Amino acid sequence: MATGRGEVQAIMSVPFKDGAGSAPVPDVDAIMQRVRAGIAGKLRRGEYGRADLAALRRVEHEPRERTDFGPAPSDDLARVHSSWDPLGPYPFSSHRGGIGALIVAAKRVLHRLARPVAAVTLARQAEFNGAVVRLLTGACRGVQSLEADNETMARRLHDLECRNRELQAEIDGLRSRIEPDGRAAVPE
Amino acid sequence: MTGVTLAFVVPWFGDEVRGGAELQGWETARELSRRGCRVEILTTCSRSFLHRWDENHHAPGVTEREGITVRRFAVDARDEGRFAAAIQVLLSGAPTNAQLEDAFVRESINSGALYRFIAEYAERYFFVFTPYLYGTTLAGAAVRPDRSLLIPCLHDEGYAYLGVTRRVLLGVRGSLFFTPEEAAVARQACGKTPPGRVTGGGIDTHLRGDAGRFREKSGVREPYVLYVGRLDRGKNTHLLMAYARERARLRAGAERLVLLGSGPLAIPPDEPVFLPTGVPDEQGKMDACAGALALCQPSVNESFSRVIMESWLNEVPVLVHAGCAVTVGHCRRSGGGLWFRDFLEYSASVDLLAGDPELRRALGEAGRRYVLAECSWDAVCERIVRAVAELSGERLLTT
Repeated sequence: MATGRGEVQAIMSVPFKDGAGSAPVPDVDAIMQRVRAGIAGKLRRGEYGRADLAALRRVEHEPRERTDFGPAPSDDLARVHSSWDPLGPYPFSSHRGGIGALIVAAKRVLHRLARPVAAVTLARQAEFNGAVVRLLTGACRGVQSLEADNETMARRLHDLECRNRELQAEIDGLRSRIEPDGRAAVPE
Repeated sequence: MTGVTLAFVVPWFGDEVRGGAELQGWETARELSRRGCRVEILTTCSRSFLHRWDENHHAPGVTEREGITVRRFAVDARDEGRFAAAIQVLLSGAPTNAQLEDAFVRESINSGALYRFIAEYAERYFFVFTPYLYGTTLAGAAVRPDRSLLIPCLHDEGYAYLGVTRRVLLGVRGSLFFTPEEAAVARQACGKTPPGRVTGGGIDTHLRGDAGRFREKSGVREPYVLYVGRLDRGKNTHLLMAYARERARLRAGAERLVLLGSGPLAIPPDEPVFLPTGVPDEQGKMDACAGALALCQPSVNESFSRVIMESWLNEVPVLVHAGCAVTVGHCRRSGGGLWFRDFLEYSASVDLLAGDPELRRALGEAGRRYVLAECSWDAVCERIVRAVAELSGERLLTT
C-alpha cells in the first residue's frame, strides 16, 4: 500500500482563511477535503489491493470486538456443559506420589457410597444447573448469530463509506470544473 | 458588600480526584477566587469516583484549600445493585420511565446533609453544580433551581437525554458551556434552547514543554504521536492503538505511539510501536506534548478536552476523531488540527503532518493563538462573571 511522504507533500500547500483575530488561520476544512480526495483517488486508481482493503476492514472492526471477558465464551460454555451435573463423574486426583493412587481410590469409593444421598439432596441443584446450561447455550447461539449479522453489516457499511468517499471526490472534481473560481483550471 | 458567593458543588474533591470535570471545577473556582470572587467548594466525604460512593472516607466539616473554604457532607446509603440495573437499562437504549430515572438519581452519589445545607443557606449562595450526571447535581440542583447554575460537561450520550437531565437543564438559572457544540447537545436533549452561555474552559497558559527533556527521560528518538488520558475503551484508546499497530505493520520506520496515562487497557509489552510512560506530572505531560508529531484525541465523549489545549500551547497540532463534534469544533475554529473518520484518514493525516513541517508549524501556531485567546483564565473568568450576572441577575461578591 502506497503511503509515501513525497506523494503527500506534493498535494499540499497550506491553505489559509481569515480568522477572527489579526492572523489568518489554516483552512482545515480545505485540508481535510484534499486528504479525502487523495484517499478517494487512490481507491479509484485501485492502489489498495483486495488484501489491503481486507486488512483495513480488520483494523476498523477488531478493536470494536470485546476482548475484556478473559477466556473465550466457547471455552467457558464447554466447561459448563462438562460440569453442570453435581452427580456426574468427577476426575479425582492427588498431588501425592505413591500413596496418591490409594487416596484417589478411597475418594472414588466414598463418592460412590454417598451417591444415593447426594442424588436426593442435590436433585434440585442438578435441575437448576441443567436449566441454566440450556438457557446459556441458547443465549450464546443468539449472541453469535447477532454478532455475525453485525459483522456483515459493519463490512457492508464500510464498503458503502468507501464508495461514498469515492463518489464525493468525483463530485468535487466535477464541481470544480463547472464552477471555476481560480482553484482549478477549466480544461481547454 | 452586596452580592453572592459562588459555591461549586462537586461529588468528589481532593488530591485523589483526577477526573477532568472535577479538576476543571476546582481550577475554575480557584481562578475566580484569585481574581477577587468569593467562592466555596461543597462536596461529599466520599474518597473518589473509583472508591465506594456510600463510604465516608473524609471527615465531614469545614477545611480550607488555597484560601478557599471546602465544606464536606456525609454521603447517603445506596443500593448499588439497583443503580447498576438502572444504568444497564438506560444505556441499552430501551425506553426509560420515571421509576428507572428515579433509581438512577436516588442510588447515585447523594448527600441529604448537603441538600439540607443548600435549602437552609440558599440566599447566601449561587450554587454551581458540575458535572451533570451524578446525584449531587441532579438531586442537588432540584433543591433550589432558582439559585443554581450548571457546568454540565455534557456529552452526546444516553444520560444526556433522560427526562431528569432535561428538567435540570431547563430548571436552573442557566448553564455555563465549554463550547457551542456542548450547548447544541443541550438544545438537542431538551428539545429547545435551555438558558445558558458559552463561557469556555480555562487552562494555565504559562506552562511550556521541553521536548529534549522528554526525549532524554523516555529514551524516544523516533517521531511519535502522543496520547494523553485514561487508557480506556470508553476513550477509544484501543482504536488508536489498532491504528498505530497497523501503520507499523504497513511501513518500516513508522512513528511510535506514546501513551501517557493509566487505565484498564493493557499495553502489549512486546510491541515496540507502543511506549507507555505512566502518569507524569503536569510539566512531564507538557514536555511530552512539545516533542510530538501530533497529539491524538480519539475519544468521541469530550465536552472540552484539556489535553488538546495543552498540545496547542506547545504549538503541536492535534488529530481528533470525526465523531466528536466538540473536538472537531475546536479544530475548525482554531485551524489547529485535523480529524479522521477511519484508518485511511488517520494514516493520511499522520503522513501529511510528518511530511510537511510547514503545515505542522502553521497548525500548531494557530492552535496556540486559539488557546491564548479563548482559554486563558483571564478570558474565561471574565466570561463567567458576566454570564453569572446575566443569568442570575446578581453580581459576584468580590473579596
